[in-house]
Amino acid sequence: MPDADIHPNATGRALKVVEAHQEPADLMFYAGWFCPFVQRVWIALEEKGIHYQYKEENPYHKDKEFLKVSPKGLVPALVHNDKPIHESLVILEYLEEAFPNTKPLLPQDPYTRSLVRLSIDHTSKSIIPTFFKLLQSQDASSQDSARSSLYEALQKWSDGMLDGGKGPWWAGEEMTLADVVLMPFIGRLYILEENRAFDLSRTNEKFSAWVKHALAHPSMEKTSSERNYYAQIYNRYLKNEAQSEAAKATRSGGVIP
Amino acid sequence: MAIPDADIYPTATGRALETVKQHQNSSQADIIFYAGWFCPFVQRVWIALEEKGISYEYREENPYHKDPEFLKISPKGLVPAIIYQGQPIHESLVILEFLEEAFPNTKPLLPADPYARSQIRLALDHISKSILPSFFKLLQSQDPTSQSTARESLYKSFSQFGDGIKGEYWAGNEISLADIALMPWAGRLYILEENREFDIERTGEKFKGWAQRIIKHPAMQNTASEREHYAQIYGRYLRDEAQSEAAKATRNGGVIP
Repeated sequence: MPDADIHPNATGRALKVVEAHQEPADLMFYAGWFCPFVQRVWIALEEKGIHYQYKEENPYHKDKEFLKVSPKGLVPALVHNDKPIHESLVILEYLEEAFPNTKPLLPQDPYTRSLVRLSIDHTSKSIIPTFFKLLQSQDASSQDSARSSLYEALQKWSDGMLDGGKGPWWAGEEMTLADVVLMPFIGRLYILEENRAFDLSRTNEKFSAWVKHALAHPSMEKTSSERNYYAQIYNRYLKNEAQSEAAKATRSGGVIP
Repeated sequence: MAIPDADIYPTATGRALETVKQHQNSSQADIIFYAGWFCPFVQRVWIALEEKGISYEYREENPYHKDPEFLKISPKGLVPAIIYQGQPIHESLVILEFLEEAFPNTKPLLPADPYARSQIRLALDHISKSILPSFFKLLQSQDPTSQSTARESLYKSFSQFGDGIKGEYWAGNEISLADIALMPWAGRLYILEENREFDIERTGEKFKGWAQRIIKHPAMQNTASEREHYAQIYGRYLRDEAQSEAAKATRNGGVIP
């Protein structure tokens, strides 16, 4: 299928990072250069300075060896000391626990950690499904409905910002997983701006400021490829022809895996 | 608008009522626990509180009433919710992780090893994404074809959960969040057996063994009310008239909150 025929590797800034991570390491990172869920883990690995080997894995090929690592054949996945883990959110929590001497992406205090997790829950349940719905909806009425829901969900996200919302990150001075899980989708807002009349000014100032800061952050830029290569993939979503698990779930009204 | 769901039997009954009565002393309590006696998501947290021996005050909160005071504690008006040291938390899975972190001197419901924890979190992810949507779909589907499709999906997802079982409990010899997150639905399988031709033999020996053992677990029995009172609520699900957020999401093809 056409989705299996994507440009085979990262480009631009991301390619340099890929090339710098080809030596064997205790942690093997299975990635699709174009995938926003992959980019979450990639950003975390870079922020935490964890030593990893990057392996490009096309999730549309469903390679038999890879299915042993990630049973649904999905990226991101990692193998650490020969043990496999998949699911971006599970991987992110694992990195916090397995690498305690690296920069923490969760606060120390249990209550504040629970607030970060509530923000992640909001992103998963309210922002991401609406993002995909807007991307894939074909008629104006469905697009309008999805767009309004997305504005609302993004405003709600920024309403939850800690420390009075003064930023620059969701929890205040320090970056946390609340930022990491949303950043890749923010890096793809331009697709909605160019094709679905998404207008960032319809969210609010706090959110816009956070977006600007996040997009310019080094680990975001280092894990992003050249925009023209994303276009091949996102055009399929815009025509609602994409065959990723996320796209299929959005079409059928099911759960995004 | 008054909905019939708001008119549920107002309190726990049977063994659960005994437990409720033992947890009415607010001066001793570390946690205020806002619960709906009938709600499976509530039961997850209730079982954890009992297992860990945390002192809590049980407060019955009808989530269909959307009491303004309660909305300050749980913004979507959903149970379960807790207050710890004056600070509110909602979402059952977020609360479960919080209890592990805030009460480190109580019985742990997650192992110490990061990899083992990641595998339990993968089981939680499977429960949320595969098991629960199929469970609710089967419960609420009206025509035989939809019921058959949902039933087969449920057999498959239960069987996959069963494949991961490592001992008496999911993770081995000790109860963990992997058991707790699914137990309340094991306790509601009889509804599907009686009304939706659910045959536990189709889930495989491992899942069947786990389900039959887990419903006898003391914390399960101490948080379960009398079956006749659940019937009023589940009757509405069976006719697809229920107005809970989970029911509405299942009907509309949305995300279960």
